[in-house]
Amino acid sequence: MSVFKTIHKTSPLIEHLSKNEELNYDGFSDILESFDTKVDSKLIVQLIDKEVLDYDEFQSLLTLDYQTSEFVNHLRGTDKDINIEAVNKQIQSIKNSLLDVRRRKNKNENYNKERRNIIKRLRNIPSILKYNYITVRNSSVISFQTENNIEIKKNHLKNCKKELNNIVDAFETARVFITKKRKILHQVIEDNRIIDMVLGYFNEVNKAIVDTRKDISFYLNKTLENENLLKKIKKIGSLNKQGLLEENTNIQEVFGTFYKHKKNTKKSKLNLIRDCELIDFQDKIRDEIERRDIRLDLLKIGAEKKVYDEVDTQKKVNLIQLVDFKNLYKKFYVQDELDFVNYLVSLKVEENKISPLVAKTIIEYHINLEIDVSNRVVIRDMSYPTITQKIKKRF
Amino acid sequence: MNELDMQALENYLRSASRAFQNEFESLYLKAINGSFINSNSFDSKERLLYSFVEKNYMLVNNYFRLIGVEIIKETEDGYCYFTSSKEDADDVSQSYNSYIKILDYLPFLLSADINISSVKNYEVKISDLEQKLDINIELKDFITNTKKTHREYIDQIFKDLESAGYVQKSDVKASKYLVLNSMKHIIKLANYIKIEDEVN
Repeated sequence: MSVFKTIHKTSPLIEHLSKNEELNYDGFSDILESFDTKVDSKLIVQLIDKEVLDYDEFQSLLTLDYQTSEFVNHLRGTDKDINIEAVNKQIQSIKNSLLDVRRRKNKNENYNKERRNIIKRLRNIPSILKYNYITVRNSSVISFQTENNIEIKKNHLKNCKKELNNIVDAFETARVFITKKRKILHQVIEDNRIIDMVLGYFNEVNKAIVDTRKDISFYLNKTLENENLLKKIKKIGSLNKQGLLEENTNIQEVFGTFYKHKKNTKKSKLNLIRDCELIDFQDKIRDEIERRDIRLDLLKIGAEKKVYDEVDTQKKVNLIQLVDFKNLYKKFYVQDELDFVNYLVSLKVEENKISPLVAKTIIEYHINLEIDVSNRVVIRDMSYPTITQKIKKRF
Repeated sequence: MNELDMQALENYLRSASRAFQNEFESLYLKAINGSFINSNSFDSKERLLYSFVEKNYMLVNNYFRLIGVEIIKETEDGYCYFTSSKEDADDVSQSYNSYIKILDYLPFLLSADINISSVKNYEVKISDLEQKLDINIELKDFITNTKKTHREYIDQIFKDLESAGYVQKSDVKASKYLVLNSMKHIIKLANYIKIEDEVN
């Protein structure tokens, strides 16, 4: 039987335990009859094994496990002690239990009940801190990203900051208390892992809180920046309505020096074409391409299969070498006999491939190259500058 | 590169532009229209063009400089735009007149939803704005001089913003608009403007 089915079957018992916290149970199922449950002691043992229930053998007390009780409270909506003030309640409860423990110890009495309460309260503290920290973090992110009224957004973020400060205060109080009482708590609980776990968790929370605090400050600054911007834009807008924009602002200066962006208006469109001669330039390029019959771009060699199939096997080898431009450049760089253009000629590169290769080399590697414009290498009707390696010359 | 004479540079750039003919043609069209190139656009071609400019900025900028156009890359905000490298008084007044038209809408837009200026890839729902306009008295003050209905007024704003390249329709049915990265450009300009009190 799955644990859920078992829990479901024993739900009246679990509800009773969650309300009254404990039940005297001697191992016989007779006691359970009053809860109208059809469970035997085997099921109870199973639940204890699965850590749904907790059983104290000395006092024969049956209680809900910490996690089960948290789960049940959550289901019943009774987990109201989740505000950050609840941390102080937990601390106060631990203090009271410690006093009870001392009293019982003096009387040589059993203090298991107090021990269990201390463990429960100790475990409660991290979960309260975690719940509150996550709530604050999420609400700050959500209000920054989704709230579209600037005043509400600002107030939300300020509240988040206050809540975070409350969490820090509560966390510090709890940390100081547990560190001070560590020895006594260890003696009572007889298990150092819980205290270590709580203190370790405090360190994590501390780091997370520092990050969240930074985030909230950033959100607040950004919101204030936006608020100022909105005020400014409103002012510019009202000046514009009054026709005082040019007089009272430096808008002309801004547009003269900074903003020359062409809008999609008829006038500027015509001006741009006439002034820039972009179309002519583009046409020139197209004419040139057609005139020279350059159908094969260097970078498209691999893709254009038709042209690729036309060339003979020897050329294919050359082309494949050329496609790998980086390797070609590396080979050129390690040799020290020829300049770049002559090196390409020595590789029997086709003449119409030389100019794109030179252009690509200059654009990509000009930092490492010495480009001499005065000494030109002429290949047919094109003249190229002498390109050599810069580092080699230094040596 | 500076040592190269213009003729030689032009030759190299022409050769290079052959290798990326499609991209250069698209850029050229964008330059004529004065459009922005946004990295968060729904148009995949525009996004590819943006990454092309980002990777080959030197090449593209040198190419367009030859014809008096400069491409400005705002990598942090994720958009590019073209400017004329020539000083021209007419052009300047042209551009700021069209800018002021957009600027007129900004107080209303930002008062209604401040996230338009600050949140990346933000989507605005026209119906949300309309709802706010119906309720909020402060917002109503912005539209006192118009005879249009609230919906018509908001639709007009977004139509103008869309044609200027600051927003893009993301959902036709729900009338949703994506705020493009180029919106940061208006905000940036507003930051550059100094009002007389501040100047003094």
